[in-house]
Amino acid sequence: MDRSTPEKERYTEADREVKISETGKVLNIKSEGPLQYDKLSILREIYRDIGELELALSHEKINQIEEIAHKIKNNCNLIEADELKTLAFKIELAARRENQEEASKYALRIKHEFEIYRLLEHEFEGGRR
Amino acid sequence: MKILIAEDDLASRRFLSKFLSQYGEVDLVVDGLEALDAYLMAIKEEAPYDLICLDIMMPKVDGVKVLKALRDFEAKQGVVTERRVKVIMTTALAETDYVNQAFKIGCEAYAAKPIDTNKMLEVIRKLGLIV
Repeated sequence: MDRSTPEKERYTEADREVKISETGKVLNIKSEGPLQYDKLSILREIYRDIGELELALSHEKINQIEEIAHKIKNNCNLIEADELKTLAFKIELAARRENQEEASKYALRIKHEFEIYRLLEHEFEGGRR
Repeated sequence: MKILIAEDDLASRRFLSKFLSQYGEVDLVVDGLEALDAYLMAIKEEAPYDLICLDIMMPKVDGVKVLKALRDFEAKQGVVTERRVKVIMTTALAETDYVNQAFKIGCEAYAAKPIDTNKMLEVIRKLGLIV
């Protein structure tokens, strides 16, 4: 799958300054600032995408697996769900290697981890009320 | 050997991946941010990459900036020069300024596209990554 960006856009984007923090996190120095998002709707979207991912895996649609995993990864990044982001990234990398077995293994894990994450979030939200 | 290829062009990515897969396990990323994420993920899992092929012109973060972030991180971690990840910059155009900058920051080599696989193999051998 080619995610290449138009030339003009690409150079503007590549202007971004980055560094790695001592704790091993990528920091964008010149980013556009925090974006507003609705965590609940992102969680719903991830839930839907995990379902779509399972479907794509059962149909062995490797390009689709990569695409969905990429979307899940970006959404997890928005809500700073690092463990989930890592698992989604692993599925994406496995799909690019056309390793269906590995992608399936991580898909099972992300489904499980997402359930735990959702439960914890639910408890947290409930506790705040 | 664990290899990371950071390349936004599909054809170049496939070509490099097919070639380097003969020598190790290859991961593919399509922009600079993904390259940093993959690098950090491998470090965290104590299975770092032995070789990173970094395209200079990439979306989100260009290859030179990725290299700078990697080297700064390694320096902060106290990684000695010999133990640093080996980086080969790949470049499509005559991007001399970028290449010079990359050498100043600390890349091991550069490969102009289209990649000459024999030359690349020679470089990988010289780096001691294959016998």
